[in-house]
Amino acid sequence: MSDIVAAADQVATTKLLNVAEGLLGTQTKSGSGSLGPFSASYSASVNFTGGSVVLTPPNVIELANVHLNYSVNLSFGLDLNDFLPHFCLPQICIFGFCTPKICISWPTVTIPFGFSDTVDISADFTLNPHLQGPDWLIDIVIVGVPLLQFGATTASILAALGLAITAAVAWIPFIGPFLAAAVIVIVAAIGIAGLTGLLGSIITPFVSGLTFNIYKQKQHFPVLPASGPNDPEVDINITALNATVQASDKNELVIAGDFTA
Amino acid sequence: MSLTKTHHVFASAAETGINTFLNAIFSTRPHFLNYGSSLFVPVSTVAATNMATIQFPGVPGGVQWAISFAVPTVDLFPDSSGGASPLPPVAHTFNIHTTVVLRIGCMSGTGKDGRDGGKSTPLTTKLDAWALGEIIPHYFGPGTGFIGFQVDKVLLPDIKPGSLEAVLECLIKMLISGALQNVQLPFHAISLGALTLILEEGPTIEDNQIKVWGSI
Repeated sequence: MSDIVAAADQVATTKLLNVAEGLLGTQTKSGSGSLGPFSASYSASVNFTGGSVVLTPPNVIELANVHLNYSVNLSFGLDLNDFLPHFCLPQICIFGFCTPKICISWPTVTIPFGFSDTVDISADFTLNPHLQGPDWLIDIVIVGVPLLQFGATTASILAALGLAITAAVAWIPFIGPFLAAAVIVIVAAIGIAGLTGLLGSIITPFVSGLTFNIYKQKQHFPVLPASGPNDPEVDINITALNATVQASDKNELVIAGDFTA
Repeated sequence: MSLTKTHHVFASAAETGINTFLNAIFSTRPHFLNYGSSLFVPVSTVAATNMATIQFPGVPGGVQWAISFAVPTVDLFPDSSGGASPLPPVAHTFNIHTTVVLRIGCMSGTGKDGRDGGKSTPLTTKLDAWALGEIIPHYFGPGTGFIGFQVDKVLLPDIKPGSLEAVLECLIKMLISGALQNVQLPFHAISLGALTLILEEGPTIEDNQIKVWGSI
């Protein structure tokens, strides 16, 4: 028999998960990727909330509908010459002397665009109790990489991108008559596929190897705090820690530990 | 049947774990087990607690005394001694087995003739002591509180006459109870910090374990 046994059912384990999500906090990364035909640089931040737990013996915790909340700020260069017609201002000739021929060359502009959304993920996690330095940890580690389904909101993000492009180029002289049609063409060039492809490349690294920590205590575990010069701190030494899922009338996460004085 | 039953969390400390906890507490704070007046414990330290002498007319400075307990061994119900214990635990109780060392400073004469003038010689006896007790929860809120140990009965085998046994048993019961008041097993330790327990049931003693149930 282990010195200590602690058990949590699925309701309690869900609460442990919610705490672990908060402890993981917000993860960030930056990089570059393809937004349709364009090369975009981005910075992204991700945190996790919610979800429900199903415990499966001997050591699987299935997390369902965990909310992956993300924010992305990206920018990409847009050469308007690729999307707008070329034209020249008409020459004015008086008595054979004409004004020079002036042709319009459209600029390359940088389009900044930021957006936030949520995608739900479901995946199996396995329990990993281990000693790391001075601490005992129990992590739950994702198995594989779940499918990211970005869903119906992608279209609204694409529409917002169109508005951002419009705002970024509206100042350019002479662009007025061509602006609306150009934005439609640019957004179509990116498309749902281009946007979800970039999102996939941004979000997947946050999910690959995803680990939540549900237990962390010092191996040298404090039982009683110090309370005076003759009452030093009382510690025990946790020598072994195990975590499994056990089946009975309801499946439970069971943590068992042994310790010495 | 699940460990959590109708609750959401469960935690238990086995008999071996309880004894390790007590070993840790008493080896770090041995003054919980050792008490004595100035002849035996000149000043309170982490090792021992200084106590006043027992004042009595004609005894200069009072009666010097000391009492020490060996680190007790706890047996949670059911009995693990195989019948060897003279005071086996019954349902929802534990027993304690320890050795009690009693000392007095035996004062010689007043030294009227100049010999042995007021000399105090330590005399020691050891008693085998068994105690029966129950656990008392002190719960103050989620994740806070502790389990205390209360002694209800003490047995000193083979003390004669019976009246002396009764007196000593009552004395040792009072002293053990007083010493154990310092022993507090925090609820968070029963789960090794895994759970911030909202206590709903227990603690109870069964299956050689102290068990608690609740939610988080």
